[in-house]
Amino acid sequence: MMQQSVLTTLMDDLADYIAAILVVVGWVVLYRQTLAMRRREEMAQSVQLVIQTVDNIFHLSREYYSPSNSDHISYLSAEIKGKFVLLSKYLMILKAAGMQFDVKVDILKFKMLSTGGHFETVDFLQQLNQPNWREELTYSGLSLRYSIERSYFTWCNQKLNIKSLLLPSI
Amino acid sequence: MPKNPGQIDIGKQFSRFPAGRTAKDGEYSGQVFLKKLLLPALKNHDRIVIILDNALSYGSSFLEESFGGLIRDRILTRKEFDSKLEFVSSDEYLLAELASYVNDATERLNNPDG
Repeated sequence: MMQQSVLTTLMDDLADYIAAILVVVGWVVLYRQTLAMRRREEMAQSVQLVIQTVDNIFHLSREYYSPSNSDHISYLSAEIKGKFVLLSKYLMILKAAGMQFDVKVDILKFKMLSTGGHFETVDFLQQLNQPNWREELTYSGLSLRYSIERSYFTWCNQKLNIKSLLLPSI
Repeated sequence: MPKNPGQIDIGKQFSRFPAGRTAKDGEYSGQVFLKKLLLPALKNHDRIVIILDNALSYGSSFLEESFGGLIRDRILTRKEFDSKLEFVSSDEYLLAELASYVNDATERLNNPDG
């Protein structure tokens, strides 16, 4: 009888502690989830900048390799090269922020197609005679976009699982 | 340790805006870079560090002609290329691009029909 009474008292005491612990854990999860969602929004904006840069390069390349362009070295070629530098820097920022990428092959292919072997040469318009060049350029741009978006979604899944919300690092 | 190491800073010693493949493409083309800087440096040094960071950006033709051209024109074997040249850049994608031109030139030399 006495043993049962001690057990009941102990259970009552523990219940208070458990409730307090649950409140703290709940608060930590909520706080970390808010942080993670904020971070996700910031990363989404950066990813959009990367994708926008890829699109810009694609359109600049089309413009550069069009019969209406008469300058082999011009604002257009400088802008294409500059945008590639920008693209590298954006990707480095995302990598430093914790996003893992496997886009090196996609970037190389996209650069080789959007610039090409005749880039900044006097006979640059010969690029237009490369078989399937336009299709390959379009496909490589889209493929790079997909790889970046896929990396972002993988990163989001890692950041919003319950383990990462409870563990110290965010 | 190489006996006589050298260094080429493309942005400072050649141009911040290297562009084009042959001399007719412009005065800062790959061919001009080879003739004015890289080939003389190869004659005088066992090993050359090439700094890429101080140029604003590089076009595919310039990179291919300057470095793929060393292999393509049989100025260096691939083994010599790897032992004599070292590239420095904070841009990992630029280094990967450069390596791909050298690899392509090596591949084409080894498999001319491929």
